[in-house]
Amino acid sequence: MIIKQRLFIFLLVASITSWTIGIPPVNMFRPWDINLRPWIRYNKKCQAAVYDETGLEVTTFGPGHPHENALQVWNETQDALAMLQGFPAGSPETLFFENVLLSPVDNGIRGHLRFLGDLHLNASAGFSFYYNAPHHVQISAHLPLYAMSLNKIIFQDLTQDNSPSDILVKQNLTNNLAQTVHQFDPTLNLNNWSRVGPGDFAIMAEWRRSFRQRKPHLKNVDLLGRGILTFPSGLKRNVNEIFSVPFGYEGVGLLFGGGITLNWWDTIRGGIDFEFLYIFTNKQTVRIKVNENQTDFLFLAKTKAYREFGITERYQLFLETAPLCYGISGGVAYQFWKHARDKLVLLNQDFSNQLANTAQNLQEWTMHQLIFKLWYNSAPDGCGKNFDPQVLLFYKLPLTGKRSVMFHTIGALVAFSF
Amino acid sequence: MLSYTKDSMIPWLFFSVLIVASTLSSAQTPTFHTFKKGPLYFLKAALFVGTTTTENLRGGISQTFAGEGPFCGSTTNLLAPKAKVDRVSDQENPLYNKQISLMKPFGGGETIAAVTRDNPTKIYIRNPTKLDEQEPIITVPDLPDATGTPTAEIVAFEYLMTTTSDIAAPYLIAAVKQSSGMFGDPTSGLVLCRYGTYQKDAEGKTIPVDVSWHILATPAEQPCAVPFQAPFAGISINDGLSHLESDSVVLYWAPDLERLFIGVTALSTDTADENQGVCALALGRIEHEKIHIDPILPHNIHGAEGIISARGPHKRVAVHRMVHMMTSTGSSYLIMVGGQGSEHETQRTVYALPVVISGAQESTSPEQIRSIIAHNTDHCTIAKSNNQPYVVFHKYKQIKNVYARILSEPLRNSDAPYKPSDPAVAVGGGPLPGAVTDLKIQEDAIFVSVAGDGENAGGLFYSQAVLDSQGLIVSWTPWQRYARIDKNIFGFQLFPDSGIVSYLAEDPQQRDMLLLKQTIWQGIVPADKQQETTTTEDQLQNVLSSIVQEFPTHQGGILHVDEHYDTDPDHSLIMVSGNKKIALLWQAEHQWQSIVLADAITQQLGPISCAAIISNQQEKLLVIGGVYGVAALIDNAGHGWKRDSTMAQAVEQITSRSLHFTKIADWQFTKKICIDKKNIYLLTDTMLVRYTLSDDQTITFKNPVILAKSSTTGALFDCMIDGPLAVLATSKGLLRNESGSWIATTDRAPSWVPVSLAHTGSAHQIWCIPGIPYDNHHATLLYVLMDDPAHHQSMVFRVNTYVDYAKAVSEASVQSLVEDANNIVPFLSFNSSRSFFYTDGMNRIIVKPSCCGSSPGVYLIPVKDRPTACINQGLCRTIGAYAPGIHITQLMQSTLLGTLLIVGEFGIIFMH
Repeated sequence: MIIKQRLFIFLLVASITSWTIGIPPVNMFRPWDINLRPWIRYNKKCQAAVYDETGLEVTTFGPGHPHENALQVWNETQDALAMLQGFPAGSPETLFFENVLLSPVDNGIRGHLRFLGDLHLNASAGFSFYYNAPHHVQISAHLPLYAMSLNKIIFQDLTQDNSPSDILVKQNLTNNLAQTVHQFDPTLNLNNWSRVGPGDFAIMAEWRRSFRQRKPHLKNVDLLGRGILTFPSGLKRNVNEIFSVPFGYEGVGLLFGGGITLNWWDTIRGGIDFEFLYIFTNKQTVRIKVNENQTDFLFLAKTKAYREFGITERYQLFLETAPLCYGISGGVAYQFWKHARDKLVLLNQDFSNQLANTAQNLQEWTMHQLIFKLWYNSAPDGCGKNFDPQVLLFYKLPLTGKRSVMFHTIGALVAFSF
Repeated sequence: MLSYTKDSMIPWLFFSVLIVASTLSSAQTPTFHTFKKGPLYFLKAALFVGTTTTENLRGGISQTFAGEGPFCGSTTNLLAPKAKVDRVSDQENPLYNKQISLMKPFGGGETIAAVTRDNPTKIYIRNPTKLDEQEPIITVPDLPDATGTPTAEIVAFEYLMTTTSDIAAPYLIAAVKQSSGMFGDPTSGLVLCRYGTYQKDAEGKTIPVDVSWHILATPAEQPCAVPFQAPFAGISINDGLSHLESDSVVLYWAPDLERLFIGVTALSTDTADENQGVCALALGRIEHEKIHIDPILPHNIHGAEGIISARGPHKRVAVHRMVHMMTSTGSSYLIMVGGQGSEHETQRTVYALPVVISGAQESTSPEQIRSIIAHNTDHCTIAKSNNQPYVVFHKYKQIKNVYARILSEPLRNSDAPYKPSDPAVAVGGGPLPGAVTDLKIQEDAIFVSVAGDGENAGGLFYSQAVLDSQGLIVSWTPWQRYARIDKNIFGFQLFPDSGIVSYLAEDPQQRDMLLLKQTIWQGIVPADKQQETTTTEDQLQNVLSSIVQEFPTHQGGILHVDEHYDTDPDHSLIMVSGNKKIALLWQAEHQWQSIVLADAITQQLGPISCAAIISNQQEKLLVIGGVYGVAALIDNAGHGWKRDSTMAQAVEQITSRSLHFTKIADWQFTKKICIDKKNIYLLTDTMLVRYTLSDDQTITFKNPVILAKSSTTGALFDCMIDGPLAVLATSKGLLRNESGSWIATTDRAPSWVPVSLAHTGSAHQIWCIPGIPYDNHHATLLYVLMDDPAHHQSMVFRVNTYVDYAKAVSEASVQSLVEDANNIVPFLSFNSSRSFFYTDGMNRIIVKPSCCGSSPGVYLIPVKDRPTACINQGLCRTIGAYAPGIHITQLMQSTLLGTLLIVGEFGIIFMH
């Protein structure tokens, strides 16, 4: 009973103190990912795994088409003029826009800057501990760790020199964007960042059972179902940094999933797996859009808001071999991620709720990727000795997506049983 | 190094002419039909023409449609050989194939009253109804003259629907005379007849008792015309009348005023002394269905001398046309074409006289008002103008809206008489280049069509009233040509909903024929936006096209247009500026020419946002202002071109490189250059600077005086300088220099005082309606656009400025117009941001900037009824709509071109 109360309090506190956006549109692994699951040792109670991946190259998919840089994931250009609009009359932003810039017209390039920067996934690591319980149930705990950085940020000013408005905007705004932004919001930092920290701690319970088939080709069918509870222990996104990627879900998450695996001739396995993630609504301090044209890295307005997260769906198709020789097997998986749009309910009457919810970072995002895997399993029959190792080498290939930043990554996993 | 591009060098192939907003697809001014000259009138979009019979042309009445309706351009001959005359079928149509001498609308529909040349004693009413197979024609019975015998000739007639009796009924008033006499003889007079007899049923509805004509008796109960007794009518002043010119009578019934204005052409006797004279205007009053003729100046017979009356021998005074004008502030004026002088002179002058309105002040019920109006002989007489108007409001509307400003005091002997040169009286400031052939009122503007003998003497002209803070007219703008129409015009119709004009122009091939034409809004866009490539017969369009190509959208388009207008068109020019270059447009030997100026200095200036011609007694020079400084086009000795040089000669000096741009100041972000007598004012976004010409009139740019700085005034957007007065549109609102200061001579920055408006936001634009300076005084009406994008609203206020060039600024120099009874409210308001406002009386144009992802546009605001609530964009008519981000940079009324120019990154829109 006491444990339940503490758990409830922990969840409540976790949900209230979350103050940034939820699941990031970045394709880094979580340790409970189905592709990082070690082969089960049926004769062992416990298994442990550790993995690490690193990003090689980043591919960015904007709302419409691929972009060259991760900082264009939501907007191809950032609108510095719109940044100053949408504020009340007499506010510093409005006075600056009207009296210094003289209310210039946004012609599509005036006051627009292309934000470019190098986003790195330095490391994505994780620890998992599995307990093989009776009745085909496996209970596990997971803790990821991440290291990311954004550096070499530059602002390419698209403003021309064709009119007095152009020159006025250049002189007073875009030539010194960081200083101008600092003038209105000293907390908004347009500089490089680097961060290392944990992701969300997760507990998973998975039921998995094999049904042996006596058919000429199909030899086995595996069914599995799982439930995961994640706790927002991950490093939060810093709302004052541009494209600051959160390392967790920013709230308590509840994930349900399942799948089916077919085994043909005891040498080839293929199947489907799916997961649905629900993140509980929580109250956050968010940067919001207050003008129709505002772009996501230049939101000057901050306020408290309830955030209703969209459902995240993940589907996977996979095909792999059984350990053939020397316990080595290989496989490929196709993953599709889709996160439905989030919704903000502002706790502030000064700004438009409807307008705030048109921000690109709240909209639906998708990811399509291929994962190539090469396993070494020292006990292909599933009954290994203590500390018989399993090793996985993998490579993630981004295919396409929408409003998502996808890394080409390579990584490795080592698992033991005992 | 200067580089030049003459328009003749540019291949016509690259010209792109695009209709931006018009229901018409043609780039040419459309021509619908040809008519023989004859009596004609427009009724909304329908034009009725009484054609004259010639050997080759059948007479009768034709109807055609102008404007934008589905029948636009279609023409019908309204008459058939057989008609149902006075309810008898298959009769000879008395109007068919006849020469129509008089024609007027009878009622508000398509019913026409007409008199034929061969039977001038009869008025026929053509009353089309769908029920009749044959066209019904009703004949007005024989009208008696003042002796009671049937008239020999109907000289003029007028339809009226009056409410002076208990039941409203249609009436005709006809001016009749004997065949041997003239109108004005004792036998001539005015006959009143009523169509039908009406009574009210139990429910209060008016029902006809009979549908026949009733000739109504005189006040003396005689069954004849009311004699037009010149002395009694005030036409003959102290027996000074010699005679009236034959058939010169003009009748005008003002329905809002319930008065008949009777205009004549009167000549004084050879022996008339200083107390004797003639008056050309009288009033007709209908009381108990009887006409009473009253003088229009009962208390001061010489109160409008030179305008409607004259004293002394051999004087001729005439009234040719009249119309009642109610200004946007609700003041009533009689607008008349006429005056003292020869026929040639009086046909060219237009005057505005305030009239007395009686009834409204004392009474409350409509019946009481009718009764007072019917018997008050001061009603509609010429009013004393300098008394305080009484404001009457709509009683049934919750939102207060000015209904009328009433002058209730007639002009008396003790009051100063009106003079033809009074700025408030002389519309347009003087005579027009030709005879006025038609006259129409559009809110605060008067439009006239003109036909003259000289080249370009004809056309369509307008003058706008300059209102004072009480809503009364204090001055008029000079006559300006409208929509580039320069042919002899004999009739026109305004379509304020679309901003277009239909007009009847003289056919240059057959001068007795008229062509019905119509203006269009036309846009010229850069080649990179072209949708069709074409050249036109209009040489100006082609030259404008070549200029537009020099300022492509991707380089910022056209940033500004300025005009230097001289009375001689060959000395005038238009300056079109853009990014690092400026184009000049001028006329030489009736051909439009252009040149583009771009050199190292213009490159240094960056985007050029203003230009002006500065002149003294000897020379003129072009000054341009850009983002990075100000430059002048001068020779090595610092001089411009000679003042008496034509623009063609000046351009020769430019091309020979004896004139070149020299940077004269480093002021950044110059927005406007104002020239006021000896002073040159430069407005930048942060300051107002004055340069003063030296006493020897040498144009130098030394010793600038900084008059305003943005640190105290807020950001500067626009300015108006007039003698001692400066008005600034700033981010802190509308400001003027302090009382007692003199902006033209002060050597220090004056204090700036806010002009009280009902809004505290920033003022973005000042649109000036400058009156004609008179006797060292000058009045200007300002339309001030206040824009408040943060609250998604903008509004237009009206402000009157009145300066005495011999005195310093005072409290009375700038006053807001009291649109409401006691409060200053906006003249117009909008529910989103607006960047420009323009009005010429006919068109009220507002520019919506590209903002918040929405498209920019140029919209025509309906003028018909001034809305008291916020104007929704849906009510407005689109003239030009553009992709988001396109910048509309300026609206300018060009006197030289005679059209409005709308310019921006998209090119140019104008009307022709």
